[in-house]
Amino acid sequence: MSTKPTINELLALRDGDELEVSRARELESDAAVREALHDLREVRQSLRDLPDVAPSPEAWERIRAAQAQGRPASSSATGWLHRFPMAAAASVFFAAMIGMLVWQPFNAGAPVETVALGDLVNRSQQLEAQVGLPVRNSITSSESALFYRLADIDAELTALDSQKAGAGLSPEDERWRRMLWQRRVELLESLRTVQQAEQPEFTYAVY
Amino acid sequence: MAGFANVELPVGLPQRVVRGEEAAFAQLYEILSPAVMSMSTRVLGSRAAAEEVLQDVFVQLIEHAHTLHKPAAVVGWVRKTAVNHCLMRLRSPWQKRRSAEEPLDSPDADEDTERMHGLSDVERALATLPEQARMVVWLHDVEGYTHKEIGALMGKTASFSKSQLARAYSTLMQRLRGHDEYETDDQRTACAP
Repeated sequence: MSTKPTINELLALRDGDELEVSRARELESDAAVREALHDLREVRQSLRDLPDVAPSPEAWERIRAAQAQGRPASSSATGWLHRFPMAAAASVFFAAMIGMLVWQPFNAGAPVETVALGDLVNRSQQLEAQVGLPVRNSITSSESALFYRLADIDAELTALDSQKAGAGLSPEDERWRRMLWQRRVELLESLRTVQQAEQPEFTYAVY
Repeated sequence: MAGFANVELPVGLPQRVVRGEEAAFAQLYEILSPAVMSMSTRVLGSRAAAEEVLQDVFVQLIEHAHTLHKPAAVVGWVRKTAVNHCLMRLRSPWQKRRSAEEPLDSPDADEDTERMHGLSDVERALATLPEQARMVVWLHDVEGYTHKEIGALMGKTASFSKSQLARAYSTLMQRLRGHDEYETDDQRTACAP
């Protein structure tokens, strides 16, 4: 009698992925396995048969408006930065000042071009592990401003990645990409400092 | 039917898109927006977030269509860009925070709640999976990505993708077919003497 298959083995059988021939034969001769395979195929088909989701009627107009105004696409709604421009500017300035101070050890003496992109990405990941969204609904205005800038940067980096996959990036785009990563690191440094200064005893959820 | 798999563009449309014709963008949007929305809504679990992805993708397309070297690849480009924007939203806590604070005007939480009521069993079961698992299931089973491709997209390995799919199906089979929970390879290895 065969060992009960794992779900990995069943999926490998369903998808024609690599599985030891003798094990595949053993499983395929089992009626319960055949029934499970049938169910797995049905679930996959029902996922493929799900109805389309239509966008809202005004979505196209919104896209055209965002494109015409040259704003980052997903920040074109009623953004915090647009609603409270002075508060946002003050918060970003404050956070950037802190960021410049704490950024020095990593960045000391190195112009943007000489810091390897890989180092910036790694540094960014390290910092992301140290900061996070607070486990509460209200956040300070400094944090909020930094979240918004980070969101914009992530959106811009994603856009550049897609562009890179399509037509490739010009040297200017590559420089811009590096600058965005550098800015991301700076903002994360600032965020960490702001969080430590404003909520020293608070627990943060790390994503 | 959900997904990009069965999308067919009229002859000449991709070339008109690359030339930057206004009417061509609108026509492409009519054809591809349901596929972008289907994937984004199911993966992100929110119509508002899905409309943000739709907006990001098409703004980017309009701005960069002229740089696409191969007009025939326009559907693939839209799909890849939509996937990237979904992944970014799964990864970026800042984006999640912003989406939660300022959803786009029309789709709102009420609409999502309404949508949840009308869901089929499979969609409801899919919605209970963690976001990352939903992404893997959708990319693999609906869009036909390989585990290697999914692993690369997520900055992980093919094994990671396989493992996510296995865990997701263990849950789906239990919820949808009443199967006893299947062990994954990882669990069996962990239990081995």
